[in-house]
Amino acid sequence: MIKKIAAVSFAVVVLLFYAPFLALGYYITEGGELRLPSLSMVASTLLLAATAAAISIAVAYPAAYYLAKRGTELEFALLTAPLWVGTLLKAYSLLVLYAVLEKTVGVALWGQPLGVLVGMVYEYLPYSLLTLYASAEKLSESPVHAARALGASRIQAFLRVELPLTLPGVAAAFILVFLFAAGEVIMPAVLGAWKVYTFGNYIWDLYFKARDIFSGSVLSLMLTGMSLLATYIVVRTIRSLSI
Amino acid sequence: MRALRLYTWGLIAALYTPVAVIVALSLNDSKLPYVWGGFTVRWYLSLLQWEQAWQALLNSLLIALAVSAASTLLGLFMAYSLRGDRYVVLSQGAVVMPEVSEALAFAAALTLAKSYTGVDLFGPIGVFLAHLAYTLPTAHVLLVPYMSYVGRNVVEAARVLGASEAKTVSAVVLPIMMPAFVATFLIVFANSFDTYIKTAFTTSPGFVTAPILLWSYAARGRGDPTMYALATLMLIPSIVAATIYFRSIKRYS
Repeated sequence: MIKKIAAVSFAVVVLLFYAPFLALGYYITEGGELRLPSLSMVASTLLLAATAAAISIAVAYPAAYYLAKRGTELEFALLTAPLWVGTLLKAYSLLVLYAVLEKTVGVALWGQPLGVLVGMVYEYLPYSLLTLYASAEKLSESPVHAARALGASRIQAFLRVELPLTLPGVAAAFILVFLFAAGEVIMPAVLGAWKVYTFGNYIWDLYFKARDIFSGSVLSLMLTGMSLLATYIVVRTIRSLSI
Repeated sequence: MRALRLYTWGLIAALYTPVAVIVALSLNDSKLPYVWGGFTVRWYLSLLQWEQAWQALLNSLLIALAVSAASTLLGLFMAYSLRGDRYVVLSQGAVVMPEVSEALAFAAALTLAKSYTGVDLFGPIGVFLAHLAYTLPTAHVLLVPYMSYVGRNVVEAARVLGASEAKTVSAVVLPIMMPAFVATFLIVFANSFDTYIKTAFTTSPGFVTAPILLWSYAARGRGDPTMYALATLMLIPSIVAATIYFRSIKRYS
C-alpha cells in the first residue's frame, strides 16, 4: 500500500513539473502568438542577478571563513536563522526601513535598482553563507602550515592556498544565488516599485494582467533554460581556473 | 581572527536590523514610521478587531500544518519505497528538477493542470495542493540521505517477524528517522507559512492567507502600523521553527 501511495505522489510531482512543456506543444500545433520580452530587460535581469550573487558572496565569505574556523554555535544559528523568514516579510521590512532612511538620512532607495540589489543580497546572504561555510569547513590546516613554514605570510597563505581550495564552493554559491535571483519577483515588485522591471515581473504580468498562461509558461521554461545554461558556463570557467 | 569576529557580528546586526525596525514600529505610538511617539499596544488591539487579518493568519497556520504533515509523511513513504539503488538515481534526478527550476515555471504547471482538467483548484484546496506539490520534493530530498541510517537488516527483521509494510514504517523506520523527520517538518512548515507566489496562483478572492494580505500593502509601498503588528506576528512561526530546529540538531549531532 505504501509503495502505491509513494508511486502515485511521485508521478504527480513529476507530471506537474513537466506540464509547462504542454504549452510548447500548443504553440507548435496552433501557432499562437508568443509575447517575447525585450532583450534589454533580459540583459538587465541577468546583470542584476549576477551582481547580487557576486556581492552576497563577497559579503558572506569572511563570515563563512570565520564560522568554519572559530565560529560558535550561537553565531552559526544567528546567521542562518534568517532563512526561516519569508521573502515577502523581508521585503516589507526593508520597504519600511527605506522609508525611515529616506526621511532621516535623505537616501532614497525605494524604486531604485540599488534598493532592489540590497534586497536581493539581504535575501540570499544566508544561502551563499551556508554554501561557502560547507566548503571552508573542509579545509585542513596542514597546507596552510606548510605554506607558513615555507615563508608565506598569513595573507599570502590565504590567497594562494586556501582561496583556490574554496573556489568550488564559491562557484556553487554563485550558481545558487544566480538561479534564485534570475527568477525573482517579490523584491523587484516591492522594493523596485514596479519601476525596476525584471524577467520575473514580466512573466508575472503575463499571468495576472494579460492572462496569457501559454506565453507565461513558455517564457518561464526559457528562464529555467537560461539559468541552467549560465550555471554550465560558470561551472566550466571555474573548473578551468582551479586546475 | 578578531577582525573577522567583529565583522561577523556586524553582519548579524545588519541582518536583523530591518526585522527589528518592524517590531519596534509595531509598538510605536505614532502613525509615521520616522517619529517615535512612545510605547503602545494599540496596533495589536486594532489588529484584534480586524477580522480579515485574524482569518488570514489562521488560514496560513492551518494550511502550513496540513502541508507539512502530508508532505513529510509522503516524503517518508517515497524515501522508503524508492530506496533501491536503481530507483534512487531516477527519483533524485526527477525530483530535484522541480526544486532547481523556477517557482514561476511551477506555477505555470499548476495553472495548466487546472485549465486542462477542468477541476476547480482554487481556494483552500488549491493552495494546499500547490504547497504540497512544491514541498514534497523538498521533503523527499531532505529525507533520502537519512534513509541509509535505517539498516536493511532491521527492516527485513521486522518483515520476517510478521509486521505489515505500514507497521514497519510506523514502528521501525519512523522512530529511527525521527530527528530528520522533525527537521523536515519544520522546514516545510516555515516554507509553506510564508510563501507568496505559489499561494497567489491558486487562491481565490474568498481565501486570504497572511502573505496575500501583506502583499496588498507591500506591493503599493504602503506602511500601516496595523500591518507592522501583523508582520511581527508572522515572525513568530519562523522564530519557533528555527529554535526547535537548532535545538534538535544540537541534541542529535
